[in-house]
Amino acid sequence: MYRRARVSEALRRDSYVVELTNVWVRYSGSGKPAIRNITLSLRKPCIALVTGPNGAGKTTLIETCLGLLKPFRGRAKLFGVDTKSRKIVDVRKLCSYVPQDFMKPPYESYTVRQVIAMGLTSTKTAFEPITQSDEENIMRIARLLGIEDLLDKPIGKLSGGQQQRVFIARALIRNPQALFLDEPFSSIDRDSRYYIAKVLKSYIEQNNAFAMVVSHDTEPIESLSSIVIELVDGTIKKVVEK
Amino acid sequence: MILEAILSSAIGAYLCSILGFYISRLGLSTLAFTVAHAALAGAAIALVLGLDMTYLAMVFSITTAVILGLLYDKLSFALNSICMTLFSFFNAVALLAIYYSNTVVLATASISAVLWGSVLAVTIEKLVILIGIVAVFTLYVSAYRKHIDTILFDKKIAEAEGINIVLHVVTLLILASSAISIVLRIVGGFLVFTLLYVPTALVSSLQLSIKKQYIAIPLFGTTSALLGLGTSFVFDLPVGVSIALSTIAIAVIAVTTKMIVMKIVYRNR
Repeated sequence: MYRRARVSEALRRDSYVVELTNVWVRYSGSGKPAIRNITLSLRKPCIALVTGPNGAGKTTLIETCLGLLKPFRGRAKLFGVDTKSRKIVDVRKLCSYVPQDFMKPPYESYTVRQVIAMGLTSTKTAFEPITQSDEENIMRIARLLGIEDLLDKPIGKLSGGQQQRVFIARALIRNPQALFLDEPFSSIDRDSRYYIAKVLKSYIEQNNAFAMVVSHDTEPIESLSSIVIELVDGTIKKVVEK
Repeated sequence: MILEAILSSAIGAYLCSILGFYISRLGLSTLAFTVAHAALAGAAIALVLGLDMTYLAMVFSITTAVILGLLYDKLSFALNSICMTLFSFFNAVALLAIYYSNTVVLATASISAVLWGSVLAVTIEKLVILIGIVAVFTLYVSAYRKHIDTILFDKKIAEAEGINIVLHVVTLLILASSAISIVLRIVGGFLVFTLLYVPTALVSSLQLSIKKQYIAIPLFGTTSALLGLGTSFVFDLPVGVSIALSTIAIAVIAVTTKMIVMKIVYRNR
């Protein structure tokens, strides 16, 4: 209850989902910062496309927004909470993340149903089971993403495109306030990309939510996004608001 | 005494091997390695001070586990270097303490217990503590099974979704360090890591499903420990060495058998 109250407080206190002020981030053991002097404030509802060439700092930016990477200079806030604060753990319960390096090896034996259900774990307390309603939600999301026939298969046995759909399903089952998607369509075929992009757009509109989508290939998200951020060599080159 | 030795070997091996599974899948092997050697340093210092080896080993290993666990998400790549430096430090402290204990109190039997292990070292009191650790571990895993599975599947996504990774890492390391401190008396300070690492390494190489791994790893660990204990009794060998060699022998046989079976299967296709 206390944790839920803290999360609601975070939601009320600040209307910005992501607030970066003069943020510099570097990886351990590397002298050169991966992103430099980034200042960015994003509110919901919004779909923000982050684009740029390889090595521009797109993944670093999305991981900094979530607090997975901490700035060595400047300040990063998620829903108004400093990402260096311990409270960030609770605020992340409002978020979903699909990483770029999602692919699981063939021996990974968790089933698709288990992987999607894992999305609900952080909101569950000790001993709290998956309910019938959770199971129905898993089936609904799986149908939406066309993976209902794969639910009992081990995730390691699926193709890259199928695995990517599973991770998007896991992201959506959490009913998140903010989605952080790193190259979410990289293994998905062209027609399905447009369909899944529309699913995401409709989720954002219906839930007054936020999405940050990293992609070096601007379609299909560019046409649906409300802001496009172009990164080059670790800095923001251009921001286009639509 | 024999019953205590059998029970403590079996329970200790079960606990170490299943904790080793979690530690290995979470990429905490270097941390656990350091924690095991902190326990060795604690036990060796207890020799010099005339204190109970198990309890001082617990103090050293749990303190190290908590500190390293809390630094886990802050130091990332640097943590491995820190662990290896601490490992060297704890080894040096242990050897220095053993040197002093030998010249000051001539405690040869006690030194042997620290280095090679001894079935005589496990008392009813230590056995009860070991059973207590198993109970706490079982309760923890039952309560947080979904959280642990989520972290094992993908640590980065779990962290991004708001699961407290540090809390679970520290809990698992504290349980491991407590188990190591007791098992150290049976297996010895230099070989205790065998029971943490080898069962998981073997079962991972067999590529079993997660459900089968949960059963196979403790089964393999417990069987190896009992076989080692039996070998130690029959051939009058140090118990720690016997358990370590039995564990490694079973692993080598299992992997070789699998390779031969795979070759036959592919040849017949």
